[in-house]
Amino acid sequence: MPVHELNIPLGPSHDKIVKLTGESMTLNMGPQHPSTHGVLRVELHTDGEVVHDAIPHLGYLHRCFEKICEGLPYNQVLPYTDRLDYCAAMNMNFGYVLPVEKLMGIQVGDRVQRIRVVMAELNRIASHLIAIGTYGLDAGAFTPFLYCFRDREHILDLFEQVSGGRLLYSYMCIGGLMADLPEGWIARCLEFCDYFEPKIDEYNNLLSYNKIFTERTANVGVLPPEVAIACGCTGPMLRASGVKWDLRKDEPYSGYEKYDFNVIVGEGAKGTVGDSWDRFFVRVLEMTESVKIIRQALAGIPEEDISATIPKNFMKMPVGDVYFRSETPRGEIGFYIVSDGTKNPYRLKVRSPAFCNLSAVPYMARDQLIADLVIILGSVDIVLGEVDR
Amino acid sequence: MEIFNPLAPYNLPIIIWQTVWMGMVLGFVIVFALVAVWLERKISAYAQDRYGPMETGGWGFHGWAQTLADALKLLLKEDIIPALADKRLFKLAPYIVFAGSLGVLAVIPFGANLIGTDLNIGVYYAVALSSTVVIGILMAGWASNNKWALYGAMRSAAQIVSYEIPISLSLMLPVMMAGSLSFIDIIEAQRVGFPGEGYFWNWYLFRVPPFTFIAFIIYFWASLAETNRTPFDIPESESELVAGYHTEYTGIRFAMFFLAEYANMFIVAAIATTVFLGGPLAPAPWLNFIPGPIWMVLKAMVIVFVQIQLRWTLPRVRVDQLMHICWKVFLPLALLNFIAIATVAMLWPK
Amino acid sequence: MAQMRTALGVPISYKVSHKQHNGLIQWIVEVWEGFITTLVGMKITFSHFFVKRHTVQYPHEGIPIAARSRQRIFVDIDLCGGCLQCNRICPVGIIDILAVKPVAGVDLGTRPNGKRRPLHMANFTIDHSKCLYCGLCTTVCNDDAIYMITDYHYTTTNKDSLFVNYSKYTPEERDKVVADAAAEKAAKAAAPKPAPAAPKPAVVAEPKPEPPKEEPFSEKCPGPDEGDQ
Repeated sequence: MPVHELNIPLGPSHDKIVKLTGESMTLNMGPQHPSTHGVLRVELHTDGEVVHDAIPHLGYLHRCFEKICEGLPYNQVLPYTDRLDYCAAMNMNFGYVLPVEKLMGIQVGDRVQRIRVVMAELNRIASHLIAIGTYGLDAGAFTPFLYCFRDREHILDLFEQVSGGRLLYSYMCIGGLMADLPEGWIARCLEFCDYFEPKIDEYNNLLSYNKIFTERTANVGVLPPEVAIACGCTGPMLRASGVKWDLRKDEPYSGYEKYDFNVIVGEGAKGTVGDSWDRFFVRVLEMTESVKIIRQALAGIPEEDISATIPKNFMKMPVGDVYFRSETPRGEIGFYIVSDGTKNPYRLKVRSPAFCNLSAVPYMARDQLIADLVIILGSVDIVLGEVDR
Repeated sequence: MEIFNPLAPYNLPIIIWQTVWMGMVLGFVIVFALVAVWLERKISAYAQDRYGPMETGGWGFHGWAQTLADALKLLLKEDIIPALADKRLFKLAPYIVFAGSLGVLAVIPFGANLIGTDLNIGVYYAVALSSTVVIGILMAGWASNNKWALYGAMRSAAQIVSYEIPISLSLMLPVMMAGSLSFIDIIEAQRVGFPGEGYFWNWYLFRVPPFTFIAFIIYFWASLAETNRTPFDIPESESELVAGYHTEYTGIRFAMFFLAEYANMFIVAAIATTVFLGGPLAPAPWLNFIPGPIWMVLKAMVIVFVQIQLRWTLPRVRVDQLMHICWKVFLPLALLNFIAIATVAMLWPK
Repeated sequence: MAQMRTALGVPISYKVSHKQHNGLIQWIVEVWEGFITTLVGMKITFSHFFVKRHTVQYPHEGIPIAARSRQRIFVDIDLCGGCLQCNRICPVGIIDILAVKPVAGVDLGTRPNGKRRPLHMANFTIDHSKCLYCGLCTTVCNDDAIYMITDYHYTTTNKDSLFVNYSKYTPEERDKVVADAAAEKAAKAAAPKPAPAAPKPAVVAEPKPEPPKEEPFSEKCPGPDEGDQ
């Protein structure tokens, strides 16, 4: 694509016109890169420092998840869903068991619903901590990353006590949970909530309001709401562009309608609505809302048997299909499951939030500097496990 | 005008003393560079709620030998020179950077007589010589035969050359107040003063309150840009694209760049302490029993500590923002400062 | 002075201006903000020097891990009843079991949980290097013979040592047990059939399915003395 065109008159009488065309330079922000958050290749077409086009190339982490699931019974699919978005594995489990339960017509009890909500929100906090920490790392601030991981350790300890795993849990099973909460877990979880709320001030003072960080991220990669909706962006990315859409409020599931929390929408406080700072700050504030939800869910949790609704086997599945979507830290995940009555799903398709968010990168990166591209990619908060499946 | 004859008998002891002293200072600065790397790792660790190196070295005392182990590792690495690189320039570049930063040691005073040579253009010499590292950096980037190394080298060169100006302007303030470019004269001018001699309020940082303080701040920040430290460390850790001008350097050549950077940190801090904080002067006359070099090193360490802590606190600025800060923030401030001090000096001749 | 808060109630520790001024005032505001935010950041990192360290000096010290932590599978072979549920549910198929029926008249005794032992557990190998740590095998075991333990100190430089055989049978015992069972089955098949009764009305008997052929295991798995547990 010719970028510049010059007509140069040459010759002694300036009669020969030589046309010189410049071309845009193509370079690869390759699959191995410290700042692309995984194996992502972004093909950049640039004119000097200014980016004309940024095309993401995916597939470096494709592991044939959907095909593998066609050969496994429904309960064995569960550990594989953990590995989709490994930073928010509880939400992935949640997203999987909900459609299967809807298909089988299982209604889980209140205790199971509340525990699931608590796990999902704790994992939302953990995932946002990773997003915030690595975003600071991309911008060159090394310390907030360590602080975020220090706080995330507490969450991982809580998860280890309840499910046995730190990153990949396979905790929610179809019709219930793998195991009930151990002794004293609720008290420890509330202790964590009390410990964590002041830490958000620390992140704000160290990173969010820092002038250098603000200069780096404000007005960079502005995503207008129409473009966001057209690309299918969901989650914090959509909300930062000003669109108030959160599945937990608009299509509540698993008892979310009972809880009182705010939907954080980007206000353009430091620049334009929908810039990278907004996307970052929406995630910071969502963590406070998650703490609120956890407190409400744990207050008044009934004592009941969680294994009452777990099905014995999957030999008699109803024939049909189901699509159910839930809100993960990255956006809306949807599982479309087609069942033909056997114990294996006939087709399992995942609508991955990070995949659709990534498709907005070419629109955000147009006419930005190369130096800003890292900031834009960091603010999208992708996890390649979910993008590529 | 007397020409300095190095072979005259009365000059020989001076030359021997100067050589010995410079050898000691050079040795000290190299050791300091090793200690500074260790200190950086410990400070970064303690700021991040962790321990840092703990095991290396005898008795495992907070891993004091970690840098020695790293330096040994770098020495043992394979010396790779890219096939199409310009070999002579490639090999020469680290030494130019090293020499350009360490040559300034000749004029840094560690005491009344403990100075390499008391040039009457000391400040001018310091600033001029530290500018020559730009040549070394450009050489490194060009000779690597690597598009991104060249890119990083050009950015680094632009950064260093631009920030020379706020440095020079902010250093002009004490020079103006002392009336001389020589470091010894500047120290002497900070010793005498009102209300008492030899007290810390006579240091140039605390005289004429807001203006010299602003000059110190500008000098401090501009010196961060000179030594490629965060927030101006784009050439050093371009995690955006590649690793900057020393991408292609391995082993001992990389160690030279690395040590030169930490030595430069000390030297820049030493200039700041000499000019603004009184150098080898004690804060009060009754503390004069502690020798001058100790004060000098102590004050320089405080500045180095702040430099290291800043690295782990602040994010990185973008290249165009870096230029904006230099030309549109520091330069006007330094010029206004200069005019203000000149006005004060005119109205209150001291 | 009341603490400043953003629109959603998040406290901020210093005054941040959201208005845009013009020209010189904007310049002054920006320089001032840059200075102040740097100082606030420095205060935070400085205060962290005096906080208790969050890490421990492993391996001199350790952190207690949860009782449910899934670090490694362990099989108590005395409890195993040979139901093969764990083999069936494993998503990666790393559990390999050979449970052989004893010849007639042999009583294998009772297991520690009081139930009788129905089968020779001739081979029970798990390839720990492929384990997903999902814990599904532990959920289906009726005898609690397979469970996850909290031992994570099993890094090794030899990958084959992660392929563990939990069975207590030596290769010779295993071969003997398999051979005995095969011999008994062959004897039963060759025994004279009972005299046929009155012909039944046309019922086509379906052919019995072939039992799966047992492959020789000697080259696939190490015996109980190889590989450490």
